Amino acid sequence: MNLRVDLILETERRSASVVSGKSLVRVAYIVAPILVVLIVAWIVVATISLGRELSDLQERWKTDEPKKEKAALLRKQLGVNKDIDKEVAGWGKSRLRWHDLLLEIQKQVPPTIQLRDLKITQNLVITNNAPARVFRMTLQGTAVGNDPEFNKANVQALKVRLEKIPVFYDVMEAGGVRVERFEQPSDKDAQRNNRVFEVSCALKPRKFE
Amino acid sequence: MKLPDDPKERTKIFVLIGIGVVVVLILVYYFGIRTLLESRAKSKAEIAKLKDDCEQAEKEIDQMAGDRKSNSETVLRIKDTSDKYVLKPGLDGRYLLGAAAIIERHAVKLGITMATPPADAGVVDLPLARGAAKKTMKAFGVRANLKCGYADVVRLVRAVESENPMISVSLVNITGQRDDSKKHVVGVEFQWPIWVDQDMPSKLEAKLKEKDEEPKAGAKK
Repeated sequence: MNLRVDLILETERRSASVVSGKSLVRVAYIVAPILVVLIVAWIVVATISLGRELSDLQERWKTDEPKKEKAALLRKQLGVNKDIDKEVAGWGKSRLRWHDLLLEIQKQVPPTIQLRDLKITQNLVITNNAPARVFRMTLQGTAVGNDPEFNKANVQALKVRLEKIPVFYDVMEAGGVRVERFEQPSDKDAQRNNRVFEVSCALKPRKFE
Repeated sequence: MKLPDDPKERTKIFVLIGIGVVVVLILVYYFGIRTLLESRAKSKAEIAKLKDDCEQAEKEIDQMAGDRKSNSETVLRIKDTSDKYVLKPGLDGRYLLGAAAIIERHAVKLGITMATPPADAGVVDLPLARGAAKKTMKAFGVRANLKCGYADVVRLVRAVESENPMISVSLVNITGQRDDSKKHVVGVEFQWPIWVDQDMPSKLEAKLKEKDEEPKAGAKK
């Protein structure tokens, strides 16, 4: 037969652990609110500090903004003026020094060729999305001589000179020099073996930029 | 306050306290911390934007002196070119007299006789590229009719072209004559640049004065 004797009541039992649940709860009672208060305080202080930083920056912006607008206006004016400057400079770049070319033509025409008519025309066109001058030159004349083949060779030589001589080469469109006409003169008074001719020259576009 | 001895009652009280604490924390978060955090986030974004704006603005302000100098130089260059080379209208607002005088002056100097007085060949607008801004200049043409030798044409063209690097020959027509092989019938058209806005020279002048006055005004401050 067994006999059980409870020396202490259930409610009188105590834990043998160093850290009791009750003490933990007590510590938590103190630590948790302190933590919460610290966190809230930190957030409040940081927010106030941010507010100050924001206010300082707003003041700075108040000073900078009108100056910035002035600077932007100045830059816009500079842009407009630079465009005008570029346009003005474009007029010089788009032209050809025709007196040099006219002088060279005179030098390159042999005595056996009589020029009767020289025409230069200009068109203003858009090329590669920019306005440009496009010149065209036409030379009409007579190749004088008893041998039509010699006359033909003279006109061909003139064509080649207009293509190859540097002063022309730099400004002529590639393949732009063509003999458009080479024929016996229709004029009754003219020599039978003379030949009238027409040479046309297409020049490279000269951009206004 | 003493906690009840009954563990069940005690647990109930702990649960109640826990619920209370959670409710309080939620309320604190919603009505205090969350608002503060949102306000902080908003302030941070605003600060970042303002910082960028201020830095950008200060960079632009720092460049102002350079821009002002460059602008003055550009306006001065345009005005100088305008004064020297761009054709100005006469009192009647037309350009012919000024251009004709230049051609005639060169012809007289070179001893070339004009067949007829120089004639108005019209004003031509430059073609506009797609999306390009309106041009500030256009071309005014003047036709000189002469009866002279080929060399005289070259000399006249050279004189006009050399005096003004913006003038362009836009048409030449030299036709030989049977009865006089030394004198040809010649038509030469010269194109001058002119301002679309006739008041441009005075506007440039005003811009330059503005530039002169700006530093003085700055010095007074």
